[in-house]
Amino acid sequence: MGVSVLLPREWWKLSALWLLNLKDRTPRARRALVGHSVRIALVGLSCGLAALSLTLAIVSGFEWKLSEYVATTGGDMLHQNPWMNFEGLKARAALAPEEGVEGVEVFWAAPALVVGAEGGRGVTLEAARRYPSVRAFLDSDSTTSLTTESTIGVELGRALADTLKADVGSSLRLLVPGVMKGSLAAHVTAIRQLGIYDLESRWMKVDEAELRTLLKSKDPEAFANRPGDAHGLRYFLSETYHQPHSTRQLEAWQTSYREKLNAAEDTTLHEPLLKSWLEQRQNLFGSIGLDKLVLTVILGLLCLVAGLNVAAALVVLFLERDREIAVLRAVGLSRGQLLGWILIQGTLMGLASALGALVLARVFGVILQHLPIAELPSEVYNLSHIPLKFVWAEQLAVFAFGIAASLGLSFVLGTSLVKGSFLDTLRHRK
Amino acid sequence: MNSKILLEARALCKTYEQAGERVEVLKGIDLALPRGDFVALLGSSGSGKSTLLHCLGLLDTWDSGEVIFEGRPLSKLSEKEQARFRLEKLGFVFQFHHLIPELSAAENVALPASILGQDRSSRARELLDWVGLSHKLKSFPWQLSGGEQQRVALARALINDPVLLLTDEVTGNLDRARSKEILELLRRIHSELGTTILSVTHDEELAATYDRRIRLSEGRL
Repeated sequence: MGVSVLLPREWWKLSALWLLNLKDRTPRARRALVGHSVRIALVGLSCGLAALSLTLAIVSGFEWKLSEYVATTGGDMLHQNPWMNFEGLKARAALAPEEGVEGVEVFWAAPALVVGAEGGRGVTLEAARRYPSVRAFLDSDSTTSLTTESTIGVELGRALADTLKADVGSSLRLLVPGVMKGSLAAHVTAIRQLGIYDLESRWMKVDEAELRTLLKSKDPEAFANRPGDAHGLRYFLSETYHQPHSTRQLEAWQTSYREKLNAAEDTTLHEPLLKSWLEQRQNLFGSIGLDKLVLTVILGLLCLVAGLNVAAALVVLFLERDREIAVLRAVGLSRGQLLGWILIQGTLMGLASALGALVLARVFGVILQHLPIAELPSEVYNLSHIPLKFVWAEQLAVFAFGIAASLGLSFVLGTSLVKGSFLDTLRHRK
Repeated sequence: MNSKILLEARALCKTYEQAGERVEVLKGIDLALPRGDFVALLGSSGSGKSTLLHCLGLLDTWDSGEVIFEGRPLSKLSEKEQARFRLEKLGFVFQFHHLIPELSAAENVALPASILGQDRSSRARELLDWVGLSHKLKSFPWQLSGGEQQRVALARALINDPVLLLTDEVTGNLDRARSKEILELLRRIHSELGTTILSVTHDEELAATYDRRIRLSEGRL
């Protein structure tokens, strides 16, 4: 007849009954204080874990929004080069994996000067044209019907438009020193709010094919002397490729593309400069990751303090039941089993707190979305509200941490508790 | 080794430190308890009878001497082995029943069996029936009278079929009529189940109903 190491389900039931302190089962008033202290400890740990869960959801929300922004503006994958001609670009694009590609963009950037009715300003001109697929780009002839008399449409950042006092439809002059002589007539087609003032104040975008056509017709000699047509390609991939917490698919795409380029007969394609959206803003994402880590550590420590309170409540609960435990020890409950029993209670309390925390975090999240405090100045953040993203892996980690904290601290205090001589309480005490 | 002897104490000594002074509670106790014995351990308050009972039941340690159970010395048992020994061989009933208030009478009785990983709920019901509480299986301890609570405690002590039942002032909190009922129950346990019983009591009249009486005075038998 062996003594089981793990206590059977009756003890889980008894543990739950002790913690619940149900009135119909324990009508004695002396239980009330312990019942309250257990409940307070549970609420404390739940709130701490909920704060951790919500904080992670907010930081993840910013991470996701940023990743979405970076991927939709800079592309999920940037294949950057010095100036090169269209044949070179097409040779590279032809080797891109087809999987997940939702668009490809040819782009180049150059310093430019834009002049409006109220004055001029130096800007970073970005010329880009997006094609719906790699095949569409490969099949394109990259010409437009624009003539030397045509004006080119430009998109401006909100801050730049304000500086130039330009609006949609306003006429501008565009100078691109080093690329063309003279100036081009332009008109504003759209004003974009980018959310970052400094970026907006210098951001200007034109259609690459239109600009190239105009440059070629205005100054054929200068155009012919250019080192190439563009700086590179941007690949826009499906949503699954720009998830901050799961970059494996993106890395696989990048690796596949890199391997194909390195295996090409044309050695100029070798050792390509490929940057994923994550690498394009590595410092920014790194700093967000660091913020997240610091907040997690601080809130994790707070949760440990709350967990200590849970373990202390558990110790009080056991000390208050010293005579009952003494009798159980007398009939054969070993110290190991008593510790096991304490750990069962620690697990149950951790489980209850963690479940409560996840529910609380969701409720707080919904409430937060409706509070003025959650509103963001859109001109700074390009977002109207604090973004929330409950990432299941993080929430699972919070859940597991809650249980582990309660269990671990119960173990630490429990090992001291079981060394106490409960059997002494059986001696002549009324 | 005499196989008729179930439990034996040899030159058992026990000293307490009390208010800076050493108090010798047990002064070389020699005791032999034959299998099937029904013994009352008598003594005045503070004579050391409960201490002796606790030492014999491995609830307390002793300074020198030995306790031998079924020919096996118990002083060398580890804490885990002691717990297992108590679980499998002994039954305890104390002056205060200390039942778990959240559990029903049947659940309280079955609890020690669950320490062994066994579900003995049907045996628990049988025992409660046997002690006359078949109608109180689902009652909680606070719904029972003092005598009923003590009978539940007795049933709990019997759940793992102990060889030796140790009781410590089990009638101390009961009136005369309830005390007699408990004693009759102990007598039935002894005669029908064949359990060896050692009961600590200070009540001479109740002790007179036992087969044998041992008197402890100032730490000596």
